[in-house]
Amino acid sequence: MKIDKRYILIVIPFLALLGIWIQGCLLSGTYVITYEVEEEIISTEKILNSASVDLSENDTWADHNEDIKYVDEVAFTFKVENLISTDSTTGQLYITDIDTFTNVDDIRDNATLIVDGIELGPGEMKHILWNECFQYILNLDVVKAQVESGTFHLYGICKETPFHVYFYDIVAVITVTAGI
Amino acid sequence: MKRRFVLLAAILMLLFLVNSGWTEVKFSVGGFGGVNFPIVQEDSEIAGIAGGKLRVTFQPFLAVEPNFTYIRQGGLTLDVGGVDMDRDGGDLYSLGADMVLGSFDSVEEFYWYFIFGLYSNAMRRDGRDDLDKFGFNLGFGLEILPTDVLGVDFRTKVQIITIDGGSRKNIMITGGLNYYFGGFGF
Repeated sequence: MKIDKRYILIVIPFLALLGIWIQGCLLSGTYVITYEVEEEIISTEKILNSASVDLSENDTWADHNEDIKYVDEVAFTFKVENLISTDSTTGQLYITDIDTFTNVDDIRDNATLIVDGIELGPGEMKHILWNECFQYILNLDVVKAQVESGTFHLYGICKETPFHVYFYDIVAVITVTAGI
Repeated sequence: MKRRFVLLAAILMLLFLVNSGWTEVKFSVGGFGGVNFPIVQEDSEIAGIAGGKLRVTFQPFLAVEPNFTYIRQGGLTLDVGGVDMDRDGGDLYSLGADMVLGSFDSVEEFYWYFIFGLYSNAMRRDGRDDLDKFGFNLGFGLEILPTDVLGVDFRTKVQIITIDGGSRKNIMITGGLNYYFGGFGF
């Protein structure tokens, strides 16, 4: 292959530009982290509990969390069941860094609503899958900030009262871009 | 700092073009399609590419190709909590220009060339914020000229899109057809 010496006059300044531009950017990758939440959530308007997430327990997160450039995407897959057999309801998930809430009003006032609009008939169970969850997710900036902190808590309640709802098999699916 | 280098590169390019004394300008149009391979992107799979381009040849060794490329970011299936779940892919729209360096004045039936391009990239995917970011391409190609006006083009480009201190990288392998107005002519 014949190389024309005139190339060099064009190539050198662009290679210099290239070197400056890619500095620090090239050695990164995009990783998908799945975190299975061990705790289940069973809630009524009077009795409730949270499910805790500590991403440091995840190997992929532990490998990359010192050099995370940004969080690309956060999703939650889970099963949710309306335990009231006579009324329909709407399932909701809230996120917070506080795990001491004892009533629904505290959650609504102080946590951030991140999943809303899951309509459940009387006694109905739904499995919210990875693709499907994006139609319910809200306040993505808050979700990403909580994820970046590495720990957070989820509360599952319903929009209407009274309610009795069960969230289980919760999995956080987190996509991050981090140093290789 | 980056702006200074962009300005310096643009000035050098302009001075070179102005002082070259080679005044003939050639035009061609073309289309291409191929396959995109994401590099270190666990959230995307291999998928297709399609696009169109215009080539303006300023020098016997230098051409500029404004072009538009649609790049599909393939979806994936992942075991999530013991259940295989699908995640739709996304779309990437790249608008920019490649600088093409080759010995256009000594071509017989084929020639090799280098490519360097700057692009504006629009990334769209359900469940994510829309991203509009600059990036660049670097690669090489081979064009076969069965007739004086028609070229069959094969190229490989590495695409790097910088995003907030990180990047998304793809290898694009494409094939295409080019039509040269007035003939390739070198």
